[in-house]
Amino acid sequence: MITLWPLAVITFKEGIRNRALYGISLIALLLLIGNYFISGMIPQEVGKVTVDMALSTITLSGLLIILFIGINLMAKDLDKRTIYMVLSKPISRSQYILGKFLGMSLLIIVSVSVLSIFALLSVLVNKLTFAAYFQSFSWSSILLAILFNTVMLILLSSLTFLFASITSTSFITLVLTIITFVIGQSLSVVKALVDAPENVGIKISPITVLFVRIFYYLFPNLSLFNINLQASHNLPVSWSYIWWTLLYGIVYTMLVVASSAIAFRKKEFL
Amino acid sequence: MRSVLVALFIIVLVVTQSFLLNKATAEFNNLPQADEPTIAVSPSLLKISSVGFEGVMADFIFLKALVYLGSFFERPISEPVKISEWKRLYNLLRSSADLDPYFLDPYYVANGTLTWGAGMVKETNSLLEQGMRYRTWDPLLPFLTGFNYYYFLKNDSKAIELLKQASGRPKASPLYADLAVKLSYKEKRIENTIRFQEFLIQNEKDGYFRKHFEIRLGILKDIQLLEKAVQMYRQRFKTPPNNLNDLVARHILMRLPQDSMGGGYYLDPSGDIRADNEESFLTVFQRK
Repeated sequence: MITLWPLAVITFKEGIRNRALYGISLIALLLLIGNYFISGMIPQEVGKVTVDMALSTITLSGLLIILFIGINLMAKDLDKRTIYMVLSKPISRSQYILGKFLGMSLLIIVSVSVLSIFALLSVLVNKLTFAAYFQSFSWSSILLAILFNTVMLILLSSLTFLFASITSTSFITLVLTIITFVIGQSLSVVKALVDAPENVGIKISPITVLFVRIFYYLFPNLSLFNINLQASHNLPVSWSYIWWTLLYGIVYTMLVVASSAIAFRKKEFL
Repeated sequence: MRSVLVALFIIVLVVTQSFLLNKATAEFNNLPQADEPTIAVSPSLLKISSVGFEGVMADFIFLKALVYLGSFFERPISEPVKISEWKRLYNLLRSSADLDPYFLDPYYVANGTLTWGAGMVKETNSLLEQGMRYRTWDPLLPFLTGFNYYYFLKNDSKAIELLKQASGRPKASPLYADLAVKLSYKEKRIENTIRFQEFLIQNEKDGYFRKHFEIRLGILKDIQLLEKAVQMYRQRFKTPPNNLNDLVARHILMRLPQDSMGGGYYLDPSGDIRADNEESFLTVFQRK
């Protein structure tokens, strides 16, 4: 544990110093400013659109941080072969993975927190300007959605470490992460389709059904962490849902990090 | 000197590109445009392609629908909106509602434009009914659907059912219940009207409206009694009564009822029973 924390802090500082963060912050800032103008064009549910824009900005920015900064945190060491220097230190490969993951998680938590402050500020400005159009609104729902988004981003970042451990370049890690994100967000809908294809008037082969069911348990179901719709309409989210989903996220992340450590221990560096 | 020339050159380029942009945009607007497709995308495919951003995708599709609707108002009157264009607007609003079925605005705009403008009442009602299944706290959608059934489709019974549903939802205006009762009365469904009125009284917390509803319930029960008495008179004497006093004269009733405001009842030329205080009974009132 003693060796993990310094590595996590170094990883975090490396991420914070990455210049891509400035670009991502600028995109986020523009979206949040745009929130005021876009929401103002909505005739009725200004509150819902405001919250949608704020939460989507956080999710999108978090995703960009993982893709452009997170992947580089480990993949860069592999690409530039500086990994040899790192592994010559008295630190095991598993500790290296774990330390990097902790650093990345810290970067995500801090980044999301800062983004959330600006996002909530944009919501507050709209709420004060268009108060009459904020009928179904709750700050606690928004904060819960931000928490779920954070857990989802940490889970996704754990997968980048797994992919980096088994692939040879950062580009392949990037592509696999994007594919996993897309599959993860679509899994629930696709599974519902194959479970009851007659509802939409299509036929699906048994092999497709089998593959979808396997993928459903193999890939992370990221849509479970998407409660932006519930937050924007202030719809109730049960405590059991919160509990089971967060537990799923934590366990899946642990599984992925453990797999990454195992894969990285066996990896040969040429 | 050199830096001044460079700065001047940049300024000239900026001005030139602004001018050229305006010219190119004007030329683009003059290009012949193909008709936009009216294909409806399935909700599942929409959700998959949203990749977790359903809410904000619904918002942008709705904004696109608004801009598209706005283009209808920019054209001259001699160029009417085509059915395919109305269908495209419907598809855009439908897509937005499919991505976020709790979003009020697509339903609101659809009802305001597609019914009056395009005559797409059944399609609009189908969209509103989807909204009603999700927005279970909102009385506006059943009210709007009820209005469409009553005004456009001339289906009073369905309209009454929806108005009753609207009046049962939280923060419903007493207008909805009032209208349902008025329509029920015209349908001569006194029994349903009485039941609905009793439900209304049970759920009304405001003393002013409760008192008004109780007066109305009393009148409705009197009308129900008189209708049964008239029916008994017809069965016994094979002819309708000339007026309600005949019911007392022929011993069908001991005496004629009077409402709590001191008014009586009469038989109108079409054979319907009316209250003397019908105007106050049927008037739509506003909250104080």
